[in-house]
Parts: sequence; structure tokens; C-alpha cells
Amino acid sequence: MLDHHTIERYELGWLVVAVVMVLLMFAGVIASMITETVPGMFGSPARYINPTQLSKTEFAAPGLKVSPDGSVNAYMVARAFQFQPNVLRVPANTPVTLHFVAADVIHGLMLGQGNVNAELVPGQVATFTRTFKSAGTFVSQCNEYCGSGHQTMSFTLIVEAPK
Amino acid sequence: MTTAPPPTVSAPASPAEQVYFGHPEKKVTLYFLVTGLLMLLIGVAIGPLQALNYANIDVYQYLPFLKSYYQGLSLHGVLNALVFTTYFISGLLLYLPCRALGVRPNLVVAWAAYWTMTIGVLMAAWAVLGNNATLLYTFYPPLQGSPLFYIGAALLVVGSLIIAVQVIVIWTGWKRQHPGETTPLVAYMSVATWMMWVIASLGLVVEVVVFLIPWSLGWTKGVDPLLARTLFWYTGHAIVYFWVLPAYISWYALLPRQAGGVIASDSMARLSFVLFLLLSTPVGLHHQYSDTGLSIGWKTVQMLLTFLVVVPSMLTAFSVGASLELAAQARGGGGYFGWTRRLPWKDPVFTAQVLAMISFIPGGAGGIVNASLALDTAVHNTAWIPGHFHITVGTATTLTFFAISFWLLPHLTRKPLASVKMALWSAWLWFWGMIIFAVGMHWEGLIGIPRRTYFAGATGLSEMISRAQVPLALTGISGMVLAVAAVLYFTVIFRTLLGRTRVSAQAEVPIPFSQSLAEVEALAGNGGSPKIAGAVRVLERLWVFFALALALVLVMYLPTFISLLLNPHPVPGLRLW
Ligand code: HEM
Ligand SMILES: [Cu+2]
Ligand SMILES: [Cu+2]
Repeated sequence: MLDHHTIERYELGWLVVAVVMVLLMFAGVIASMITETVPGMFGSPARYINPTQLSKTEFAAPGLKVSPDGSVNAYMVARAFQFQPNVLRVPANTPVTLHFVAADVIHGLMLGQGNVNAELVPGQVATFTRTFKSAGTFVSQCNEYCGSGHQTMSFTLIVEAPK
Repeated sequence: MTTAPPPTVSAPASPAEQVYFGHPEKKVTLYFLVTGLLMLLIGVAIGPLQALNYANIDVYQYLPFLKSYYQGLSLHGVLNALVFTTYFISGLLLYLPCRALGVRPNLVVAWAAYWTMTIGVLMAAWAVLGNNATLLYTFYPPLQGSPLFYIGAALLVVGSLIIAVQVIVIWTGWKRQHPGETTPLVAYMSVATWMMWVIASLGLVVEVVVFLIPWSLGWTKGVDPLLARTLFWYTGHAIVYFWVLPAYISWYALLPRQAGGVIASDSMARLSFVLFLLLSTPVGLHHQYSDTGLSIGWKTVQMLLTFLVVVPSMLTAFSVGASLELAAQARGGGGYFGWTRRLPWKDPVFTAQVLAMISFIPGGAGGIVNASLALDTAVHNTAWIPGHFHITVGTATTLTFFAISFWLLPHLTRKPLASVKMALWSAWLWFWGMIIFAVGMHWEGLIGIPRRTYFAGATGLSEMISRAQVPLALTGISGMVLAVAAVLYFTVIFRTLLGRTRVSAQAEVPIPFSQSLAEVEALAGNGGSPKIAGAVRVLERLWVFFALALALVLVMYLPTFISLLLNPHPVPGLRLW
């Protein structure tokens, strides 16, 4: 049978293994952040607007807006139990900036297309710039419990190929 | 081994007073444990229905006593994760350290804690059962429940804090009376756990007492949901260590003796608990990676700290594995893996704990995925997350608590375990049920299926469901397996508790405090090394580590809280169910 000194020596070795593992994980995750596996993680600034006065903001008329300079912005409002608009058409291969805000309680949205997963806390604007490459229809759901109609809150993203 | 002594039945069943004679704290412990298990029974009864929901089978339309899927889910989450665990841990981590130190707790205080908790739970239960707090166990504002729910939740936590303070006070008293002595391992670990919980529970206490209770009573107009979430997750992460550390105590310090061996390394066990005390709390922002409005810098720093928890977890795995190998060798086992055959697999106390540990391996690995800022985007709020915590708190903790109940209830009542076989079956079925559950739910999560979703009537799932037929079926099947496991488990427990035979005091199941290898060697005459003794002496100063842990939390959280408090964005409450 091993004596406890020997076991503790092995265990110290194991401790070193664990520390090295943790350091490698740090490196891996930081590398993935720097290379933007999830795009825009560092870029998007926090912005708060009063959720009871959305009519005074660009969220007054939700939907897609193409500016004269060609930049494409989409404004979406989440409120129980609907996304406005609940169908969004965006052009493929064009950078689109999506802006989400929740008006009443917390909602959430995940878009498998483009690595978007946002917790929509009332008033806290969530902004993502993405270029959708493949055309198609992608349906998802509110993914934060918001009340009895939570499961009926769906969102459809239609990526349209250039005509 | 130590768990099932041949029952020598005393002729007339001894009256209860005699059973608790000498250790009246047994009774309050029993109340904590059994109340916790009753809460688990109710919570677990709803689980299989949720699993069927995930198999796209709706049974809720036939249930008159649940107004909605979400009311059931609120009960399930609150009763299992918050109520059951808090009761069980309060009983266990009151009794074990007191017995280890040979000190009797103040029974008035212990009962006061029990009744504080129970009144709180009854209040909260009243609210949830009346569909007035269908908030899920995270109760994020602006969804607003009945004040009874928040007050009840606060009382539950206060009850646990009374026990925390009592144990810490008992320990400091013991230290004064035993200068220069090393705290017995179980007591040491219990005190470290309670110190961690004292720091960790602050977030929840402040959230509920300062913000939610006045708001739900209508005294304040609004609550800042982002601030509330941040306070919630400050406690919400650390609470997982509050659930897991008692299981670690059992694995480290009780299981070796139950397996017929000794603790491989006492000082490393202490080191890992000090690391848990330091690292459990200052990392809660990793639950808020997807929240806009919080700084990416602090999220990143807390992510790195989260990864550090890997170190004490790996130490635990090593130590426990080594202890088991030593035990198997003592029973004549050998070889690289052959020794595992020599372990007491027929003993449910042993087997349930080993299965719990095995489930914790994929559980920990999944946790690393969740903790990574980038990977979390792929799984946040998907079915992956419940998949993850059912093999951590739902198995590693719960199955260990099952194992503990298999020896501790007989110990406390002197009633022998009703059926060893049924206990074994319940452990194996729970293990396999949860493994199947976890495979299904993790897989669904990767497809994008959200958690907390009532499938009947869901409008956006059909395409994902068509790609997730196999995992959804696995979830449904696992629910059925788990239902059987739960029936077997509770049958054993109630048959034990309601049994009529009591063994004599001499035949009482002993508390399996294990000896450490170093102690055994010292007794055999080749004394301990002064260097390790020095390390233990440093680790013995838990108050210093408590202060360090507090300081670390302040550094990691103060800037975020200050900026949230300086820019408050309160919004009014809503009832949307
Ligand atoms: C019979 C055994 C069990 C089954 C079949 C089961 C099933 C489930 C399912 C399917 C969900 C996901 C529901 C959803 O997201 O919509 C869930 C959620 C949950 N379960 Fe269990 N469970 C069981 C036991 C446990 C145990 C023992 C615990 C903890 C000790 C636990 C804690 C939770 C928690 C905290 C949630 C999350 C609730 C929420 O999202 O608000 N469960 N369970
Ligand atoms: Cu929702
Ligand atoms: Cu966490």
C-alpha cells in the first residue's frame, strides 16, 4: 500500500495538471473571443431607452430600414406575447444590424443563424451586426419565460437571395 | 460494511424518547431531512410530466390541479432546487459537524431555524399553488408574484443562515477550548461550506428584502430588472456549490470508510474546500453573458475565475478515486482497473454515491462549456441547460443525498433500512434515467430547442422538432424511468420511517467518519510529516479565508453594482400568467 507522502506527491502533480488545463482553457476561450467566434462581442455598446416611451425612438415603427447610404438596420420590439415584426426579411450577403428591445418583461431570442442569443431585459437595447450568407427561412421562439403565452412568441427570419 | 449491521431487535420497541436520548439533536435533524424529502416528493412528481412535454406529449390538459405548465414548472424548480436542498443541507450540515466536534447544538436555535424555514415554505407554497407566483424558480422581475412568495423565500434563506451562524459559532467555541488542535475534517468542511453560503446568500437576501418585497407590496413603483438579475445570479451561481459541497463532504470524508478504506489525503481535501470558499461566489456574471448592459470586461474576468474552480474539482476527483483504490486494495483488489470489482457494489450507500460521482464527470465537462463566453451563446436558454443541471444537482447532489438517507435515517431512528435491494434498484434507475435525460436534453439544446417551453401550442418549434425526434423521445423515456426510480426510492424511505422495529443502541448504524491515511500511519508508528502539518495549520485559519473571499467578491462585483445603482432603470411589475 502507498504511504500518504507518495499519494500527496502524485496529487501535487495532478494539481499541476489541473492548473495547466485551466490555463489552456483561458487561452482557448480568449482566442475564440479575439477571433470573434461570436461576432461583435466587444463592439456592441450598452444602450438603455425607456421601454414605456418607445414611440419616441427608432423603435416607434419596428421593421427593416435601409438608409440612403445603403446601411441596413432592423428594429424589433419584444412584448408579451409577440415580436414586432414577427417576420423579418433581410437580404443575403449584406451586413444587417439587428436592434432588439423588450417593452414589458424579460424576453429572449436565439437565432441559430449568425450566433445570436440575447436576453432582452426591458429597455436594454441588444445590437448585433451580422451578414447572413445562406438564404432560407429560420423560425425560432422567445427563449426567456415571459408568461402564459410564452410558447406562442415566435420569430421568423427570412434571408432572401438577391434577385 | 459499516452500513448494514445485523439488526439485533430489542424486544419491546423502544419509545422515541429513548431513541433520541443522549443526542436530542437527532430529532431536529430528522425533521429537516424528512421535510426536505417530502418537498422533493412533490417536486419530483411533476418532473415526468415535463419530460413528456419535451416528448411532445401533453398531459397538462388533463390535470385539474395545475393551471398551466409553468405553474407546474415553478413548483418543480422551487421545491427541488431551492426547498429540498436547503432543508436537507441544513439538517445534514448541522448534525455532522456537531457530532464530529462532540458538541451539542442549541436545540432552541435549531428548532427556530426549522420553523422559520417551514413557515416560509408554507407561505411560498400557498402563493405558488394558488397560481399567484408562477414565476419559475428564478422569479425575474418585472414579472411580479404575490408578496407571500418573496417573503417565504426570504424566510427559507434566513432559516438556513441561522444554522450557518450556529455551526460557525459552535466551531469557534470548540477552537477556543481546543487550542492548537486541528478541526476534524467533516467539521472543517462544513464550516467552510457555511461560510461560503453566508457570503453567497447576500445577493438573494438583498434582492428579495430590499427590492422585491417592498415592490410586491406596492410600496415602491419599480424594480430595475438588470440589477435584480445581477443580485440573483450573484447567489444563483454560488448556490450550486452550496448544493454540491455537502455531497463532496460525503465523498471525501464518509465514503472511504463506507468502502472499507481511509481518506487518501486530508490536507488536500482541506485545500480544495478553501478554494471553493474563495472561488464559488465572485463568478455569477457567467450566467449573464447574454445580458446587454453589463461590461464585457467583468464578464471576461469572472469567466476566468470560473474556470479556476476546475482545480479543486480535479483535486476532489483524484482524492476520492485514490481513497476508493486504497479501500479496494484493503479488500484484496489490485491491477489498473481490476480493483474496482472489489468495492461493495451491493451496498446502496456506496453504489448511489459512486453513480452520483460518475454523473458529475459529464456534468462538470458541460459546465465548462456553459462557462465559456463564446460557447455559451450556442446553449444559453436551450434544453441543454436543464440537461446540465439534472446530472449535477439532480444527480450528483440528489443521488448522494439518497445514499446519505440510506444510512442516516436508520442511524437517526435506529430503524433498519426497509429494503437494500429496492434501494439499490432506485439508485441505478435514477442514474440511468438521468443519463438518458441528459443525453436527450443536451442534444435538443444543440438543435436549438428552448428550455421552459410548453410544447402544446408552441408556434415556432415545428421545424426544430422534426430534427429532434430522437432526443425528444429520449427525454420522454427518461421521464418514465425516473418515475419508477422515484417510486422505489420513496417506498424504501417511507417503509423505513414507518417501520416498527428498532435496533438496540449498540447496533445503531455508526456515523462513518473516516480516518485519513496519515492518521493510520501515525498510529502505526511512522509519524506525520511536519511540512504537511504546517499546511494544515495555515488552512485551519478559516476566518482569514472568509475575509479573503469577501474581499474577492467586493473586487469582482462592486464596480458592476455601483454602476447599476447609479443608473437605476426601475420598471413596474406585471402579472402575465
Ligand atoms: C423524476 C425526476 C425528474 C424529471 C423527470 C425532471 C424533468 C425536468 C424537465 C423535463 C425540466 C425542463 C422543463 C423546462 O425547461 O420546460 C426540468 C426542469 C428543472 N428541474 Fe427537473 N426533473 C427531475 C428531477 C429534478 C431534481 C431532483 C431536481 C433538483 C434537485 C430538479 C430541478 C429542476 C430545475 C431547477 C428545473 C428548472 C426549472 C425552470 O426552468 O424554472 N429536477 N426538470
Ligand atoms: Cu417568452
Ligand atoms: Cu454558474
